[in-house]
Amino acid sequence: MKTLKITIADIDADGYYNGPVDVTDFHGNIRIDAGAGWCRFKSSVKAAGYISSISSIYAAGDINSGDFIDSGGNIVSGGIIGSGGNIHSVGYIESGGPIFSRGTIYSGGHIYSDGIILSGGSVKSGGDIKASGHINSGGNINSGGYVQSGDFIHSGDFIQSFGYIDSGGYIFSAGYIDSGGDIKAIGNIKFRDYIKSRGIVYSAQGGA
Amino acid sequence: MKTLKLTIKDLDADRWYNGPVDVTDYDGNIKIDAGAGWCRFKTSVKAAGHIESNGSIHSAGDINSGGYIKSGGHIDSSGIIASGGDINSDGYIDSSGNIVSGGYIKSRGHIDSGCYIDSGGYIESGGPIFSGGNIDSGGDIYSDGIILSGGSVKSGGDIKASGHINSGGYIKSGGSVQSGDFIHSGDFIQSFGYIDSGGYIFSAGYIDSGRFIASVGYIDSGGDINSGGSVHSGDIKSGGDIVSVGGIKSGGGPIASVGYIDSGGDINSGGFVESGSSIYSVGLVTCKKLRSGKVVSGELVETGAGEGK
Repeated sequence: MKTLKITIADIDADGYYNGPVDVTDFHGNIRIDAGAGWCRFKSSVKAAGYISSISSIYAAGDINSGDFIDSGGNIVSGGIIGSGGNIHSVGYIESGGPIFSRGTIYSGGHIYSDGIILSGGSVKSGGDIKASGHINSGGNINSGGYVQSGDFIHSGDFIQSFGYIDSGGYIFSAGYIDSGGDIKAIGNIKFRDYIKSRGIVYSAQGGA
Repeated sequence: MKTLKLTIKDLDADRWYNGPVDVTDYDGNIKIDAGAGWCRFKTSVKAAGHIESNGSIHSAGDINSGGYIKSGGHIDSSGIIASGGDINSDGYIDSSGNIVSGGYIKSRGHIDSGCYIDSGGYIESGGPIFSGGNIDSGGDIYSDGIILSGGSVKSGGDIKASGHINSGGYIKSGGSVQSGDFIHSGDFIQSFGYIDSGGYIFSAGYIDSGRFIASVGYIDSGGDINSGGSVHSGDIKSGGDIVSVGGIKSGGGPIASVGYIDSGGDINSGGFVESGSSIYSVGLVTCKKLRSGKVVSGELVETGAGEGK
């Protein structure tokens, strides 16, 4: 599979990509090495293979990859962020739509989604994890900040949060739930190991 | 019906189609014989008949066929994939939008849709099945990987995955539901046949099965557990009633129900039994301790050393 290399020569004065290759549907990998700043796209970015950048990536549309997405900075999308592999960001991840990953999602900063977060593997962040829809992880959920969702939170392993956990639906953890703040749910709170909270634990429906 | 034949001569050096015929709305079949590599389209591809390719097909837009779509490689679309017939791929099937088929969908690789998957026939994948929305199949759904859905998973036949089945909505099967790892449903689980999980079973709503329910891990239901056969798991918890035509058996864990427990066989728990109501059993109710509830029918056998409340 071929690899498109984007360098500083392909970035305009405002930090937007102005290279000759159409990246809205690139049939290969995209590798961005454009210095420490942002590499911005006025459109969606789609790669059949991976998308890798040593710095931050912004797309006004979707960011989609058939393989992993890896950023040495932040990842920001006005639409969907979708990956056939892992999503790994040294900085934060922000999406105007859902975040889909068939693998794991890792962020050194926060993870914000104006949609659902759906992951085949674990979801880990150095900051908050926030979704307007549900958060559904096939692995663990590990947050350095709070965890907040508009609908349910499901973890196929444990849930660990430095801050509070607030769910607009139920909370289910196949392992423990450990929160540095309150644990609140509109629905049930269920866990298979222990539950630990430094604040209050509140469920509108109970727990077990 | 006429057939447009595309060969290597119709592709540029990067294997993009640059032939003279407009393929965005072709009134016939499209047959691609351009070797084993990719045939790429910078536009949508639409055929009134079938689309068939020896190699992989990619469209920057939609792939739309009135008949079947068949590929000796991958099928990849930045828009939707829609077919009046079957969709058959020797590689993966990947779409940023919906995947809709009037027939079956068969892939030797993964099946991935950024939106929903809707199939009139079965869905069979040699890898994982991933959908940002619902998965709806008129036949079986089979994955040699995980099934991961942002919405519901509905099947006219069996739902089987070698990995976990993780659904943000309900899981509804006209056959059985079987997984190599956990089953999670954001709503109810309803199965005409059995439910068999290699991990835990968690349902935010009820669990209703025409045959047995078995889990290597535990069963946790936000509503009733209703089984046409036995219920067998490490432990069993229900936010409603537990009703089983066969026996109810937990390994080392409890059997706990907010509502009543009704068994057509024995109730056998390696831990305690707890019921918010009555307990009916055709056979023995064997547990370390009955913590709550009343055995109305059946004989209670407490083995002692039950867990403290």
